[in-house]
Amino acid sequence: MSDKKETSEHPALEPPIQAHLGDQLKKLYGSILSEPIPEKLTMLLDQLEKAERKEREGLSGTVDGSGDR
Amino acid sequence: MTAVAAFKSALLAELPSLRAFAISLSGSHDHADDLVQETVMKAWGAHASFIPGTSLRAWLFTIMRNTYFSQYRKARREVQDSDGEAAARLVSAPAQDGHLDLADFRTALDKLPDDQREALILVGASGFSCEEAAEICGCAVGTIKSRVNRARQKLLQLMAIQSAADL
Repeated sequence: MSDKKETSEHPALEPPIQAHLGDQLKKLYGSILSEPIPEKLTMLLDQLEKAERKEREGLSGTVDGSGDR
Repeated sequence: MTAVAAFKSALLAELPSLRAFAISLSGSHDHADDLVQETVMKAWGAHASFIPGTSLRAWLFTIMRNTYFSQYRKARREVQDSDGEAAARLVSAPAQDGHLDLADFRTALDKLPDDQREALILVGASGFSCEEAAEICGCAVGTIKSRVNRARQKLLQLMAIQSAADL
């Protein structure tokens, strides 16, 4: 993230300040990243997969599953 | 592994990033999970339009931010007043040195204009290059750079930091 070319209408920030902001942002984002994933989200993927599988099985008798007609 | 199973496990691996981006965008855990859910469903339905070998995360983030800006932004505004502690709740790390600092930071981040906050998060936290962020947001690279810049300036203003001595 050491973008040397600040193409800005604002003056570049002092490096320690920019580093501080970057740190804070990463800390905050990291704390969210490490939270457990709610079950409803993983279950949603299970359901989507199951539904798609069923659909393909249903189709496999007639079409070879290549989607487009 | 079937193509479906592979896509599923790839999406599964991106859920933490999707949530983090959703929470940062919407400022609320509740809205964020709805936003992730909708993004996942759209992505699933649009699987065929994903180009293998390109960044799945960038593709998912594009779907998410378009969904957010078309549907959720309004809800965010409506909820902010009644949900004033959202900012505090977002910092779920145990109290320790820097904890208060981080809560202040979160509050300031939440006050940024949506487009500036989005640019700052994509480039400063999600690890995208300015070029990738521009593609995700559908704007010019220079626009991303200037949004990131303005976001930083505004954060300092909000947190009353004038020089490195204030840190």
